Formats: sequence, C-alpha cells, structure tokens
Amino acid sequence: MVEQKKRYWLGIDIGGTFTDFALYDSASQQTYDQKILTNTENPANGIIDGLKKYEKMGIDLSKVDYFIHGMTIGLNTLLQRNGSKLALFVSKGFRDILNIQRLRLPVPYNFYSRLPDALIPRRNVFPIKERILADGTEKDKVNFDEVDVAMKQIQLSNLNGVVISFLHSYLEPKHELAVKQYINKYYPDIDVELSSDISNEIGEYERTILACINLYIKNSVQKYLNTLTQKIEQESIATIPLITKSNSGITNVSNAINRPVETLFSGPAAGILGASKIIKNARDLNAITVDIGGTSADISIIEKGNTILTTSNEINGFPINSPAVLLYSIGAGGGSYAWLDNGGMLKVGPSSAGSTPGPAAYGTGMKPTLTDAFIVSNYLNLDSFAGGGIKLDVNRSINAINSIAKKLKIQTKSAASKIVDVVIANMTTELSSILSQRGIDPRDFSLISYGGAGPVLANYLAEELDLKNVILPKSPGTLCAFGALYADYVFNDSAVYFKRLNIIDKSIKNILDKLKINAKKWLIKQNDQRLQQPELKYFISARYVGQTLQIEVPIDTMWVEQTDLFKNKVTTLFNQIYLKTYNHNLPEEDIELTKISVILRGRTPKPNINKTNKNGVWNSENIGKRSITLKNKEISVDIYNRDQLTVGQSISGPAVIDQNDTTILILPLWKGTVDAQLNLILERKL
Amino acid sequence: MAVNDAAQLEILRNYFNSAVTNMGNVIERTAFSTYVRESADFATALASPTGEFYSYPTTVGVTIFLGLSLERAIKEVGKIEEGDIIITNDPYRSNGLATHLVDINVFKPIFYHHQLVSYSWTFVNVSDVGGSVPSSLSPNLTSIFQEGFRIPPMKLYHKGVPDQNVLKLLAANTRTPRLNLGDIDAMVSAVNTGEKLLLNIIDKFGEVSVLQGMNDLMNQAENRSKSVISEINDGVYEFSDYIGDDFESNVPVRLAVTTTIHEGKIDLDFSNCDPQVKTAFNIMTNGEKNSFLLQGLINFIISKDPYIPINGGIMRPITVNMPKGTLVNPNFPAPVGIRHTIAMRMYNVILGSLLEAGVKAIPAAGAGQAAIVVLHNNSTSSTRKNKMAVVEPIGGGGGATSISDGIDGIDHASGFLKNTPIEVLEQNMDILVHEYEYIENTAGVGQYRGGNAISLKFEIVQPAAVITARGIDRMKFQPWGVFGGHAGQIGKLFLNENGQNKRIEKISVLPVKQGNIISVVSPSGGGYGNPYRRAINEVLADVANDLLTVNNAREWYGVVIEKQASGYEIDVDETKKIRNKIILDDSDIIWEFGQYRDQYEKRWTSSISSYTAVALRTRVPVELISDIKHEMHNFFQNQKNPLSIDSIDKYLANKGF
Repeated sequence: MVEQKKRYWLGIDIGGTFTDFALYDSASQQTYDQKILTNTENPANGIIDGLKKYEKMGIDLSKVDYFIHGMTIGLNTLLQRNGSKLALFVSKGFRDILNIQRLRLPVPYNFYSRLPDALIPRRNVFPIKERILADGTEKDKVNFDEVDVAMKQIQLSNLNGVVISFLHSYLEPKHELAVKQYINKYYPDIDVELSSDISNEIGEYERTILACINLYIKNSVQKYLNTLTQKIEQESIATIPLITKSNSGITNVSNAINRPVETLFSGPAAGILGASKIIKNARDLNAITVDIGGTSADISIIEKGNTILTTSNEINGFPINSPAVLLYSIGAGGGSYAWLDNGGMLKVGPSSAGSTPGPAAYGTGMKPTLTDAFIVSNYLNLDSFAGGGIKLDVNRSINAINSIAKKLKIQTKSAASKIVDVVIANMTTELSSILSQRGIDPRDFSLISYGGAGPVLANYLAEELDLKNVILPKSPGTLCAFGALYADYVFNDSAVYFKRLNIIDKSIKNILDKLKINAKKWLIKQNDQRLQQPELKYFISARYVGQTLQIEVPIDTMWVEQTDLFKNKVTTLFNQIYLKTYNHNLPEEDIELTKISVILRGRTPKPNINKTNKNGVWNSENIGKRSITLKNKEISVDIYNRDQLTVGQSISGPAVIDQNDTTILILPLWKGTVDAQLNLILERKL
Repeated sequence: MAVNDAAQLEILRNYFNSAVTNMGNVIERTAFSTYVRESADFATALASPTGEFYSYPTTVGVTIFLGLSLERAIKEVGKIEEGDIIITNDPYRSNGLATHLVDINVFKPIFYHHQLVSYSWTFVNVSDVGGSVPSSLSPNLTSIFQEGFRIPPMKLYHKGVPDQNVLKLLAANTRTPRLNLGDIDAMVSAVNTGEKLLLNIIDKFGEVSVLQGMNDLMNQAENRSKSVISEINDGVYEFSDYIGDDFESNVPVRLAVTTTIHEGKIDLDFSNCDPQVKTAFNIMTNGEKNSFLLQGLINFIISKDPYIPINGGIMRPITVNMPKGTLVNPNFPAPVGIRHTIAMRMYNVILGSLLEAGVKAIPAAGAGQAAIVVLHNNSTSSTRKNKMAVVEPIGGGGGATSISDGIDGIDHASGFLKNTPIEVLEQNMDILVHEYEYIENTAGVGQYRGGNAISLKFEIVQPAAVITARGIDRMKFQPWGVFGGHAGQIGKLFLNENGQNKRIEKISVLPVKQGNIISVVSPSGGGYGNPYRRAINEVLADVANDLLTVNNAREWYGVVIEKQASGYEIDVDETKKIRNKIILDDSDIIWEFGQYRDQYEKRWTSSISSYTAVALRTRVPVELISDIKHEMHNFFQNQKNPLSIDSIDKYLANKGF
C-alpha cells in the first residue's frame, strides 16, 4: 500500500541525446514530462539535473516513491569490451568452449569472416578435472589441487573474477557449488560466478557465455548504480530506484547488480513496453515498433498488446539466451553513410558516422549520411534539431550529398531523394522478412515509431508495407520513460525435464513446486510493499521425438494431479500450437518434453490516467510552408508545430510536423489525426 | 542501366532478395526434414526465363548453389504452362541442378499477363529417397540405382492441380513418406510465395523495370566478377590436389585443373582430373559449370567484392571443360551421393591454380573436409536416446591468408557447418564425450599461421553401435602452405579398446562396443608466409594461450620466450640473433605440400598422373577403369623413379588398351 505522503512515481529514459522524465502524481493523477540533454560522460548527473528541475517546479522530491529506469551501461561495457579481467573454469577436455562457439561463420563465403573474439582469452581458461554425466550422476570428483594451481595463476595474473561452467550443471550444479565454496574460503578476494546460477538451460556454450557476460559487466554496472544511489541520497530523495529488465519487467538495484546480464536490453525493453502500454486500445493492439536512432533501427513486435519474449537475441555475435523482448536490429539509422559500391550501386549503411563525427551537417564529418539527405530534402527544421542542441550546417550536407550526385550525374536534391528511397527499400524488405518469419499479415498491424529518425520514415514504411496505420507518440523519449511506469516485476526461471510425455509421472509436481517457491522468493526479495498476490504461469517445452526444435505449451498446475489428464491436455495443446506455427503437425508421433519454465508477474499499481485531452476549440494553423523533395519531386507543403496541435485535429498530407526531438512526414495520400492522448495517428485518406 | 539507375537497381536487388529470403523462411518454418533444422540444408532462388538465378539469399539456407541453372530441367519437361510446378531430384537429367538424390528440387514458372517472366525455385535435402541404406547416402555404393529413387524433371502440378499419381509414386519409394510429402508441401508453398512476391514487385515497379532489373543485376554481377578476375595476370596455370583414396582401395584420387585467365575471363579445364570412380565420389555436371564445384572461386570473388549482387551472373565469366568420364562428369549410372568430398577438394584445387597465377589474396589450404560423424544406435534398451544422430560435424583448422591467421578448428570451405552442444549430444545419445577442443602445436607454421586442429574424443556407453564418418579426408595428403608457410597436419582416427589406443584407417562403417573410445583428430590449416616474419607478439600470444610450446616457438619461429613467474617474456636479443641469421627469400611462390605428397609425386609426377588419367579415360572401358587404375598403382608401387609415359603406355598395352 502506498504511504500517503509518497505520491510520485518517476520513469526515466536515458537516450543518446535526451534524458526523458515522466513523473506521475498519484494524488492528482497528473503527469509531468520533461526532457534535458543527456550527460554522456556521466549519465547519473543528468538524472540529478532532471530531479532538481522538478524541485524547482515545486515538486517535493522526498515524496517520490519509486523511480524506474532503463540503463545502457552494461550493454556499452560489453560492446566496447572494457569489462573486468576474468578467468574461466571448464570441465577438462573442453577448454575452447568460448572459441569454438557453435562453429558456423557469420559469412561463410568470405575468407575474412570471423567469429567474435572470445570474451576470456584461452590463457585464462582453466580445465578442471571433474565430470557430471547427462543423468546428473557424478563420474569424476572435483580435483581441488587443479583448482589451487589455477587460483594461484589467477592471483599472479591479477584477474578480478572467475566464472565456473561445468558440463551438465543445469541438471546437477554440485561441482560448481563446491568449487565456489572452496574459492570463497581460500581466495575470498576473487569474485565467482556460476553458470548454473545464471541459467538452467542445456547448451554449454550459451550458458557459459551468459555467465561470462554477467561477471564481465557486473563491475561497471555496480559502479554506476552505486553512484546513482549515492547521488540520490545526497540529494536527500528517499526514493527507491528500480531497473527495467530485458524481459520488460523491473527489478531492484541489488538484483540488477547481481544479474546485469538480465538487463542488457533494459533500454529498448522499456521503450517497447511503453509502446505497448500507452497507446490507446492497447489491449488488442498489434504493432511493429520501429526505433530508428543514429546507427541502427531496432524492431520489435507487439501482439494483442503484449510484448513478445524470446531467448534467441544476439549482441555482436554473442547469443543471449536469457528471456528478453524480441529484438531485431537493422544497420540503418540517421548516421548511416550513403556510398557507391564497386558497381556504382547506391548503398546506405551498414557503416555509420555515429555521433562522432556524425552527419556532415554536424560540422566535423565530410561523408554523406541519411540525416544529410533529410536536410537536403528540407525535411528538418534546422534551428530546433535535437532541441536546438545541435547546430546543423546545410551547406556541409549539400557538399557531402553532392559528392554522390556528381558520380551519378544527377542533381543534389535528386541524389538525396534516392538515398532516402534506398533506405526505405532496405528497411521495408527487412521488415517484410520479419513479418513473414512470424506469419504476420501487415494489414492487422500498426507501426509505432520513435527515435530521432523514426517519424521521418514511418509513413513511408507503412505505405510500402501496407500496414494498418502509423502511431506517433507525442514525445518518443517520454514513451520509454512513461512506459517504465507500467512495468511489473517479471521473473523467468526454468528447469530441464527430459522425458517422453507417455512415461511422465508425478515427479513433475516437485519441479513445479520448486520453481514456484524460487519465483516467490525472488519477489519477496524485491521488497515492494505495493505488490499483491503474484501471477504465475507455467510452460512445458515439447517436441516430437527426435526433433531439435522446442515449442512452449502453457500448462495448468491442476493437471499435474492426474497424469492422464496432463498427457491429454499437453498432447492436444502441443499439436494445436505446432499446427499453428508450422502449418502442419504429426499427431500420431510421440512427444518428448525438455524443459519446464515459469513466469512470475508481480503486478504493480498502474498510473490511473483517465484524463483524456479534450477536443481543441480551434485547429492550430500551419506555421508556414516549406519546399521539400518528396519521391524526387519538389513540392511545397504546410508545416505544423507538434506542440500546437490540438486533440481531434486532422492534417492532410503532404505535410511536415516539426517537434523538438524529431520531424514527422505525412505523405500525400495520408492524413494525420491527433487522438485524446496526443498521439498522432496517420491513416490513408478515404 | 538505362531503365534502372543506381538507386532503383539497389532497391530491386533488395526486393528480390527479400522475396527469396521469404521463400527460405517458408521452408524453415514448414519443412519436415531434420536436415533443414539442424544444418539449413535447403536453398531458394528466383531464376530468369532462361533458368539463370538472378537472386539468391545470403542469410537463409546453404550458400553453395547460387550459380545453378534450371535450363536442362526446363528442357526435359517440355511445354510448361501457367500453374505448373516441376519436381526433380535427378542429377543426370538436370545437369547437376540436383547434386544427389536426397536433394529434391521444386520450381514453378511465373507468368505475368500470360507471359513467362521468371521461375521460383527451391530444394530440400529430404530424409530418405529409398535405395540401399537408410537416409540413402553411403560412400561405398557403386551405382545411382543404389542411392535411391530418381525423379526425372516432371510436373507435380498441372495447371494448378496436383498430380496424385506422382505423389503416390514418391511416397511409395521412400522410408519416410510422411516426412517427404511434408517437405514437398513446404516447397510448393515456398515457390508459390516466390510467385506472389515477384508479381507484387512487378505491380509495384512495372514489368519493364523488373525484367530489365533481373538482367541488370546479373550484368552487374557479371561485370564485377569480371573485374575481380581481370586483376589476375593473363596466362595458363595448373594445379592439382588429392583425395586420400576412393574407399575401395588405397589409391589416391587426383583432382586437377588447368586455369586459363584471359582478359577478365577464366576457363577451367578439368581434362586431367582422374576418371570417375566406382564409389560415391563423383559429381554430376553433364559438363556444365556447377557452382558447387566452383565454390572456391566464387568465395574469392565475393571476398574481393563483398557487396557484389549474389546471383548467377557471378558465374558468367567462367567457362569449363569437363570431358565425359572424368569424376566431374561421370557416365550414367555412376553414384554421386558423397559428392561433397569432391567439392571440398576442388575448392583447394581451383584456389591453388589462382595462387599459381600470383593472386596473393588466396589463402593457404584449410582442413578441406566436412566429416559428418554419425552414431547408429543398435541397442534397444534405451528409450529416450535417438536411433541415429550426427555426433559432430568435423571440419578442421582454416588456411592462413595474406593478412590473417587461419581460424582454429574452422575451415572456410565448411564454414557453414554448425555444431551440436555436447550436453545435448549426451542427452540424446549413448555417448560420453571426453574432449572437444583445439590441439596445440598443430597449426601450419607461417608469418600467418594456419588454424589449429580440433579434436573430438567420445566413448561408447551402450552395448552395440556403428559409427560412420562420411566426408572424412586429408588423412594422408596435408593441407598445403604457401610462400614459406608450412603445410597443415593430416587428420587421424584412433580407436581405444581395452585401454589400447591404436590408430585406424579412414572408416566407412565402424562397429563399436561399449567402452570403446573413438578419437577424431581433424586436419589443421596451412600457413602463409615465412614463419620468421611472424610478429613476435603473435608468437608470444600463442605461447601464452598454450597453443604453442616455448621450444616450438624457438625452433619454428626463431622467437625466444622464457617463462617467468608472472608469465611469458620475450628474450629480445636472443630472438634478434636467431632471426637475423635467416635470409628470407620471397622471390617466388613456394609451395609446401608435406611429405606424403612429395613422396607420392616422386613416382606419380603431376604430368604422369595427368597423362594416366587421360589414358585411362580414353582407352579403357568405363566399368574397368577403377580396377585397372588400382592394379597399375600396385604394379608400380616399388618404383623409385618418376614413371614415364612409356611405362604407362606399356602397362596399358599389356592389358590390351
């Protein structure tokens, strides 16, 4: 129950350019958004700046109950490879687990294609004599003499920690635990991470790399969160920070420090959750979310208002098997370079100017980028780009695009238009491939677009893909910050269970109980007074005997009491889901089970925003005209200011809408309507 | 590029690529064959009305078939009408469109306003097509009739209506009818998807632009392929390499090419290749170029121009000569099941000829095998475990390039293979894996070293089983090194029985007992450049990583390293002393083939092997060639000196040829 004196909840999103805040006042059911430039050197300082701004507005910060934020520090540590220096213990005979990976090269027909470098070099990988068999029994005891030799070496080499990953520890972790105890006792200064603590999944490489990443980024995540907590204390804001997890749930700081690998996709997850929650009619909303930033476009799918979880995401070639929101990345963003390849074909990306040197217009780089093409096409308001934080030099853009135009022997504006065309085709085809993989009919799906470059391209993409409509939140950054306020505590866990369905017994009940107890313990540790009875969902992974794929079948704990009921229910459901997924099934085949998993959801109170904005009494007028290049034609379009648009107002395309963190383009056959939450909805004109 | 400019062509390329990728997604989602899920053994493409692939996906399916052609299969069918769908798996009647019988191909003509504009194509490696053995493939089969049921190119659908008779016939001739019919369904829905998407593209961009775009893209690929080739010095270059044996004798099988470069064109003459063999190591091309055989060259072109449009145009500057009766163009009914062994070695042969031509960007030879180690479970006691499953695919160390080391344990020629986690393996099969890791000190030494070998050691923990290892090779002839780089090591097999470890020969079928430990040691990659030029820090890194001993660092690389308490350190002065004494000669290409080949070629020189290959092929009846070749090798076994043309002629004359 919320204490009366605490009344505010705060969501924060740290983006590349802006740090966005969404403050919800549970007493008045009002929200207060704000936006400040991100402090890239020290993002925690940016948060404090924002809080102080609220204070100046007269908000009593001591009454902020919770604040929730997505962080990128762990991800950046991994991408920049500047994490802790570690050692790895593996079962004897398997020293190259991090090098061999899963063999297949990223581009098999390129002589120079390589797997990502191992996170821990071979010299720091120590094979230890021990062995657990596939049924969980012990074959060889742990040889602690070898542990000692390795630990001495680790001390000499000044390594900070050791990851322990032995074969079949997902089933029987006792060897990993024994070695951990031993190290804690005799080498207490060395951090230890167990693969069985991080994942209960079968598959030694995937489990090991997850544990390695966890320990690798732990130190920097801890530093960041400690700094943040200290600063908050210094400002005497007695608030509890919560962190968004990759699975779009939240967790407390100590959990985030212990298991940072579960927050790798913290930032995007908050955005996708936000997208799924704040749009009206969220309950049955199907949507593709497209977040286009400087170097890439991140894509996810929302089905019937829900984010989709997967265990098959990747970061720079590393498999990330812990449950996370589905995330695809396309190497095209505002900073992507436009260039001509050996055959004179026009390409955009995947290499990018990033934020340094940035697009040519930023004043440093010379090479043309997508953003420069936008500028030459006259889409952007040069004075208010990135909230006025970045001055754009249109002449630099023209010169950069001109380098391509000359080679193609066309006008500069024409070249810019073609660059935009190529990017749209690139994204359209990638998106359509994603849609087909998931068997999605585009006409049932909306496009929700955010990120700086997203709303410029959103209408194009919806038109090309034949999507239902485009939903553009009032402020993309706030979408993430605000979305975080809707996050529940979400915990995923699993246990292997290898058995044919026709010979299962009641032992399954013990596993379910164990999972339940663990999950509830986790929730209790979160120590959030607002929580009520958690919701638990169980799944069993199944396949036809001999297959490699796995399908998750939702199960009810009630069925476990009667084995036959369980068999029948699972068989029926499995065959149904299989049919839906693969368009066919094999009902006469035997089914085997591989894994039981649980999702716990601790529901948090949600902001109660009944208030919808009233229809405006007048429609705001255009603030001028701009001559833009649209599909290689010059046309003069009306310009609007997003802040001035009123609820219910309709704008006929072609039009451009300026706002301080992005620009919206409405195509000729489309119109935009402002809804009660101030989202702009783009639809085809009738 | 009159109709389509630089942007439009890129956009069309993207759309076509999306169409073939979506077709691949359909196969991935709906096919039954375990080969689809476990090793992505399928492909999709869009072909021009003449049967050339103008779009081939880069991210789904196998990467090796981008240059196939539908031409022969189309001809075989006769009149093709709207709504027809064609099926075939017959290498002999499709000119190697299907490279062995388990690859079932399906394609559909696409009409726009009743005009044929394109074909959509796909294939899936199905579970079984009948024949002598389950899953239809075995190295020691001696006729295509033992390899399964042949489907000459024929209509599966007539004007939109499936032919139930064809389906019945197919179902009756496989051990896995339900799986195969499911795969065929998946392929039909893939080619229909391709049709739908292409028609959408035409509606969007217009017929003229799209049809022109297909040609433009193939022309692009052709021109860019040409410009890569035109950087190679004009001239005639020969190269050859070997498969250790043909599975029924110890006699090596020699693959040879004569490569002629002329103004951006490349001609590959396979006349000197050994004649066809009795066993399943032939590859059917009917004398037409087949991208499976040319993968080394294609990889070279793509490595040089990574953004080249991926389509059959890449193949256009290539011409081939493959006389009938060579193992790249065998006479009917030669078996072709294990053709990938030939393809793997031809990869080395063609790239070797380009090195002869002075192309420095060609890597040294990698492991050159894709051994699929399979365990067949004969016991009935275990219910959970699989009857038959791949233990692991074993490639081996990669070849070094002119700018980088070869990859430890992975060869580019088989870089598409994916392994199975050891934990999954042990759950699904009655085995205990003792070791799956790199083998130290095995890399072919060089300025850039080859990739180290990989070892797989596993114990049989059930009463009775059989091991097969198709595609295993390089157990005699080492992967070569170049420019002073040393050859990689050969692959080896060991069987540990009752504590006795003994080396064993290449296996086709090995019955094993409980407690046996099988050890597969892969070949390693060849080195590139003189090892005394290797950066000292790289040598140190290998030592620190336990991939190289201190002694070997000194002996092989001239780098003196000492072990200190805090780690390894370089003795700079000593190293200088040793390295300064060495005079490096970089004037010419230097091959290192290794002892076995050097010994073998003392007798069977390159020119005499070529002469013999042609003589056997042209004088001896096809059914006798293998036997005569084996006898001839036995006959000359003790000969010390190079054989002469005379002695070969005399021997053949004695036999009546």
